[in-house]
Amino acid sequence: MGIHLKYQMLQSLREKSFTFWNVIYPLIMGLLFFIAFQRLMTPQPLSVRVGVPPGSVFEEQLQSADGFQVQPLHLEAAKTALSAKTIDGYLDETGTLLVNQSGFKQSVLYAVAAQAEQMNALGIPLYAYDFSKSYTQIQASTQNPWAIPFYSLIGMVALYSVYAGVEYARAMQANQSTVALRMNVVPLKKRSFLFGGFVTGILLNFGSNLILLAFLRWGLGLHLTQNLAPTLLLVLLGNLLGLGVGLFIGASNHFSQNFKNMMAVGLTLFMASLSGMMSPEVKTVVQNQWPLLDRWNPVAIITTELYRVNDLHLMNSFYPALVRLSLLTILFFALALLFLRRKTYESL
Amino acid sequence: MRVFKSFNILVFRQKWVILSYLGIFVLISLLNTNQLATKTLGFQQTLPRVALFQESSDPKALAFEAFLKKETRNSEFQTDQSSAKESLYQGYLDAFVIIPEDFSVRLASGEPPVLLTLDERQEGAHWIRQKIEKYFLFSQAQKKALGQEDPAALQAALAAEPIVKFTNGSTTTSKERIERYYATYFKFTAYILVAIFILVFGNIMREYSEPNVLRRNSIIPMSSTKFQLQLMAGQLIVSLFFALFMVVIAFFMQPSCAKIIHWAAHAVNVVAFALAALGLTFLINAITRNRYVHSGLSVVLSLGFSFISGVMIPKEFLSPAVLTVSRFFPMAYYVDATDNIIAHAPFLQEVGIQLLFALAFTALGLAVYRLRQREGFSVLQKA
Repeated sequence: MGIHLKYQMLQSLREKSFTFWNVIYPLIMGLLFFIAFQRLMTPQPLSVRVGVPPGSVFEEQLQSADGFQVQPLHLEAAKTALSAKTIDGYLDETGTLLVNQSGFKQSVLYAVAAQAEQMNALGIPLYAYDFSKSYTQIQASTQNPWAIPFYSLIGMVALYSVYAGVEYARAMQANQSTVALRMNVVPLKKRSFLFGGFVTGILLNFGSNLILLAFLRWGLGLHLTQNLAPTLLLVLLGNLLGLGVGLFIGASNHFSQNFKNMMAVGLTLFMASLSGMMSPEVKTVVQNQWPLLDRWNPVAIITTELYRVNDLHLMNSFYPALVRLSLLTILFFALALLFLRRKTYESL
Repeated sequence: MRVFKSFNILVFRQKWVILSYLGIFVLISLLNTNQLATKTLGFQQTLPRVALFQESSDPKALAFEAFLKKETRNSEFQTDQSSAKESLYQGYLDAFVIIPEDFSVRLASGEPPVLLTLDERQEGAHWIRQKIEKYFLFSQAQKKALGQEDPAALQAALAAEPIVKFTNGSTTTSKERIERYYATYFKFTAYILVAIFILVFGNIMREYSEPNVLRRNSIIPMSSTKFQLQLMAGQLIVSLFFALFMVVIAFFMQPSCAKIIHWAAHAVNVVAFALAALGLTFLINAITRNRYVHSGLSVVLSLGFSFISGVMIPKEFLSPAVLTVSRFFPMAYYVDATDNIIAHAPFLQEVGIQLLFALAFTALGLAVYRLRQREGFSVLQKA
């Protein structure tokens, strides 16, 4: 058994494609996400650049309010500033809003202009307004949609043991490769060879997942995995499931090895896309419109539980998620076994 | 033209790689066409998205609920507070609002009558809070001035809207939408071109560097220069074909919007970028013919350039350091030129820079290639 483990591990490590796709590619993706989302991950305070006529009532009001950069401008200068996009909008003396596009900041200015208009319409004297009083009790929460692509990436690479699964399915079918043919005729315990292969596949992929987690934590300084034990358990189960899916892909059809690998790449990427790797909004849409798909997509299960456990500190759905992942793993291993067991060949 | 023909046959053999990239691109472009569907007129307010949990049956609470539904985009998906909290985390909601059972008691006693869950660091949170505060500021001012609240007068006042004018004289936003759609389309084209060129041309050039093929080619009655020129011509023509094909697809995406787009300018820009991408591919092929390096570089360079140059993420969200790094690659200038064409601003300088990149990459590639050619001869001699 030990000798199988050693040689299969060495064989995988010498494979350049393994080093690239399982180790380097996830690191590059993590780095690219970090570069792209770096500014979005640090919330910027509201800052609306507004032009007002010099000495107008809005100048004083907005200067004392948070989130506004007030620029006293005459109308013609304001038009130039709007074209050059150095201001987001212009509020004239009458409360008319001048903009050159619709958008969030323009809508904030619209709300300011609307409040002035509505106060006029209400006709209540100014003394009756109590601007110091607050009518909302705030309960703080965290909004961090930009962590979702990172969690989704972790979920996707956890399933990258799928390649090892496809490879071992090939090594088990004598009509698929010369190596498999030899393996079927040599006096070797098939069980220990296969078990060695599974352990190697899991160990190597789990190891590369740990490298990714370490890179995100210490390389990029992202505190994504505060709750380490459940995180590692999810990743490990993802590895097992990936292996099962790979075995199923490898054993269930007679397509070429390249095509099977393409299926594995396509499937993991598709599942990752649905779980928010390309855009967090996709995850929300799938979760709300097709909840069943979200509940049974393995990458989505891992992604959801990773942010629930690490960021929202919610454990109520963790164990049901583990059960779903385990059921999927058992299902794919069972299906693969159906295709692989008791196979005989007329000629080889 | 035998080499040129064989090159084109090899390109055809790569059809599945090309079609898979083009398929994804066309699919995403078609999905994006929903941006064009709503052709609205006038100023469009961006409303904050909230989930509302009404626990009170008090008429004042119901009146406040009606106001909130008008002033926000109410989301119906969140059935409980836990799922609302998750949607808030995902950025799908700006806040979730609870109108508690004891709403009127809290209001009368001076306690905050509304429970608001939000991330105070976010822009949307500030805004939704301002809207809610305004409602109670008005209703309580009414109570103070008149001795009681007047819901009808309050609703009438809240319905008052300011005048909004557009400086460019046009209030139509459909043109903006079309331009935004095509800006996204043409920016994404750069990603596809780099990925396809590196992978496809890399795969083909690797076949030409097989020792057996090298040996055969060394005895054909054709000079090495002519052979290489035909190969380069093949790459150039295929690149130009792809570049113009992308422009033609763009036209057929929305033929009814064609009049708004400056097609000639976009075609010039895409062709200039295709040449720069081809130069880069030539350099990579000169450096390596390894299959794994090619597939790796195809993914890493196409995605990497796209992320740092403003293709995948708008430039305003990228840090200054990243933007500075992006200036060392042609995609940043391609994106700038695309933005300038959309804004009807001069773009030829950016096109010129892309052509300079094409020249620089090709010159570097030629230098490396000469060194590799000597290696090729040594392979033959050994064989």
